[in-house]
Amino acid sequence: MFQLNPHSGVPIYRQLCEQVRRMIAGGQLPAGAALPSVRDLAIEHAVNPMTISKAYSLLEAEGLLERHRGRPMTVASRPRLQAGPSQRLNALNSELDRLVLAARQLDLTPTEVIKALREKWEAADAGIRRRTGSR
Amino acid sequence: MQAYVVARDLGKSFGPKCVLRDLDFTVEPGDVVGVLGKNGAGKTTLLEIMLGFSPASHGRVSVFGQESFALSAASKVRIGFVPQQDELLAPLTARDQVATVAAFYPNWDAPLIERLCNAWELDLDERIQSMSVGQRQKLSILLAMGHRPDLLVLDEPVASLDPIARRRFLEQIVEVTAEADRAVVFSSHIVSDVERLASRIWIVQDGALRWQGGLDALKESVVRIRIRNAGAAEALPFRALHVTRSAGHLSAVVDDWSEARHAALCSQFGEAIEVEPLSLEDIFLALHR
Amino acid sequence: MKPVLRLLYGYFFAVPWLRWLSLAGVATLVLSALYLLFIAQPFAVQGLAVAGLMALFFGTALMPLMVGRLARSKQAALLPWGRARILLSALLTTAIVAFPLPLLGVIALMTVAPKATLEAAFYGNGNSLAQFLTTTFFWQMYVVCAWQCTSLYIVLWFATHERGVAGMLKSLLIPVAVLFVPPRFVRIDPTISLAWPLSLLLATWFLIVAYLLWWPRIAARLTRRFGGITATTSKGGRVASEVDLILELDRPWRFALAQSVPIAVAALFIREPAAWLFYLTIFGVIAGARAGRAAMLSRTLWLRSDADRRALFDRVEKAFWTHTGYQLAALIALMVAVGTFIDLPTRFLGAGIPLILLSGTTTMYLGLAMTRGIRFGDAVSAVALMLAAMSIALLAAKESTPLAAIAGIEAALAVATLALRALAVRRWSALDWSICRR
Repeated sequence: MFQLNPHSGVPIYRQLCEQVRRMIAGGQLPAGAALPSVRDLAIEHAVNPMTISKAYSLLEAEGLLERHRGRPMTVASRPRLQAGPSQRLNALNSELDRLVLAARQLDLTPTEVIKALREKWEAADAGIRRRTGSR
Repeated sequence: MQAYVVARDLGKSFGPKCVLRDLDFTVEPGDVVGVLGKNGAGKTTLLEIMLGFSPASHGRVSVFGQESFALSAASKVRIGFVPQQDELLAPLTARDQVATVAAFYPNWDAPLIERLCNAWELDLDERIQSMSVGQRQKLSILLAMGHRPDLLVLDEPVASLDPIARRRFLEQIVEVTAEADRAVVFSSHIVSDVERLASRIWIVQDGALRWQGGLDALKESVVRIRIRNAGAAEALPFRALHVTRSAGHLSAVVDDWSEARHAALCSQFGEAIEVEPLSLEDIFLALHR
Repeated sequence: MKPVLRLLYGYFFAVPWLRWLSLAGVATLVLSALYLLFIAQPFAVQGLAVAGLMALFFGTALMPLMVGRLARSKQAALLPWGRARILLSALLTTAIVAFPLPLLGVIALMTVAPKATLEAAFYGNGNSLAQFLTTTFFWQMYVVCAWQCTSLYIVLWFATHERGVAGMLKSLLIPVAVLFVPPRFVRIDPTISLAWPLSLLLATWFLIVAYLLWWPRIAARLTRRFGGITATTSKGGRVASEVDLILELDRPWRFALAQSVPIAVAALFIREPAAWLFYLTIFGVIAGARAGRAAMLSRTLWLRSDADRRALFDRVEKAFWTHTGYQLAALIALMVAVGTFIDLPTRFLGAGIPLILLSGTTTMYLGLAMTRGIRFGDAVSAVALMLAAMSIALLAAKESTPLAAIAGIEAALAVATLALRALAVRRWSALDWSICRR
């Protein structure tokens, strides 16, 4: 479900937070959806359980998750912070930083990168349409 | 809740040679402490003094509120230890070795050992002298876990385990730490394992603790910054580790990064700054260069 | 108590091979006790009982090694009451192994010995003979026996744990004490006091406890004060060759000198030629015994030289000849010195010198032939060889044995040596280093 990479410089709890935020914003985790328990997630990825619970607590404080007694955490029914486009874009920040770095190292101009990005986007759209059409 | 281990101003010297100095640390219930350090930095001595195998030359260290050097039997029951070199009885079978150690503990968890032996593919009927180094290491770890110690101390436990056994070991430690009130202190050269498991990091350098604190805090405070088109005369407004300049680019590792620093840099260099997070391994290398 | 019992089980019955030896020992001892009680023929039982005792003792032969390893391990420091329980288990093992001999002794004296002889030797200070035998005599024998077992366990510990001059010296000093000190304390004499052997026993155990518990700390303190005593490289003098260094034969004179200490000590006690010959033969056997590690150590040598396995054997053999030569030469010099010092017959030297030379070379070749770890066959032939050498020594010292017979036996020993050399050559030409671990 999540991809946690302990070797990256980004702390694991941040990686998890970021991914949960993205999946909520993108609708993959709808309101009321249950998240895996701290223990299960920790054993699955062989990471410290405290790291996972730290991420969950942060997300709870942000109003994205709800804690229930004796049951798994769920996605908040009405996220207190409605994810507006600017917030969602914020979640993409670190990916954009990386893209900009790579583009600079390749000595590409912003126009070229944006053009390539748009083409990718359209190809992906076409792919999605094909898949939904064939179903 | 009372801290499990408290060390104040701890030091150790063998003759004129100072091995450890000025150590202040605590281990709280629930902590998983990863101890990192070069060969000969003093990791093993630190763990051994912490458990009272040899007396401290300076300062004091206590475990469960008792002076380490004079631990009572009641405290010893709550400690598990895996030495760097196993201390198994070669002529015995693994089963006899387990039974011998188990007899010392009133609270030995035989089903747990049974389960782990199966999971770790350890044949209890094999004689220890014909086991491989990895098998012996697994057995040593089992022996330290059987009495469900509150404080588990492991000195390079995974050095000769294969990747599968190492993963099983990590999962087992996660299970241990998922239980409340248990603490683990382990040293390892496999930084990625430390990165997965540890909630706190001690970096031992030349007998002193170069860094101690949360792993996340460490990753957030040690970063690499790159500044494009920095003039040769322009200097950083704060101290940084190994600054390198090439083709007008300046790159440096900062070991006390903060938002304030970031703001200061932004005002000096504008938008030409990149902040790159570092993995624990990179941080370790950077601190030792 | 549970951990102590579990440790005892470990010493007596947990090691394969030795387990059956312990069991056989117990069975034999029970059998001989029953035999004494119901059939009452002590002379038939004697051999049986001794065999049983030996079996029981060697069944627990790894106890000292296990105790030493456990007591000095870091883990023991963290086991609840760890060291105390481990030491208690060692003490109990000794107490158990020492128990059958005095018991059988008392039974034998009570059931079979001619009453009149005993009564005559016994002054009878108001106590009955039976009472004396079951109390004072039993305890005398028990304490002496316990002390002997303790000493033999210490020898086994040195033999299994330490190598080099220090280990050899320590393990040689103890047999002297075991063989010649304690029998003085066991007499059928109501006036004899238990104080001496008991204090000897207690002192020995005090030393063991001190060594296992406190020595590491004392040693640490000593090294702090005087600096490391490790690896003082030989300055000047003869520089040892690489072959000698790898085979750990670089200081033959140290071993040769080390022998003189126990021999000098023994010269104060021993007067009988038979005992001397016996004793010196043991030294000869030990001088050759270091060759048992040759195969294991030679791997490094093989990796560094262009010699094939057969040529390697020649080099190793030469190195061992030099080394053993030093030791045997020193031994013979000491023998002559002792002979003049306490006036032994020339016959003793005539039979003794070839015997010592032969026992040294035979064990050397036996050691060289042990290329596959110590297996059952090798172990049996080693023990048989030692026993043979010692019985030849006893035989040779007897005035009644004709010299020709001794010469014949020694010639047979020489043939055995040649046979062992041939075996060693054959095994070395197909030496497999992966199985010559201990």
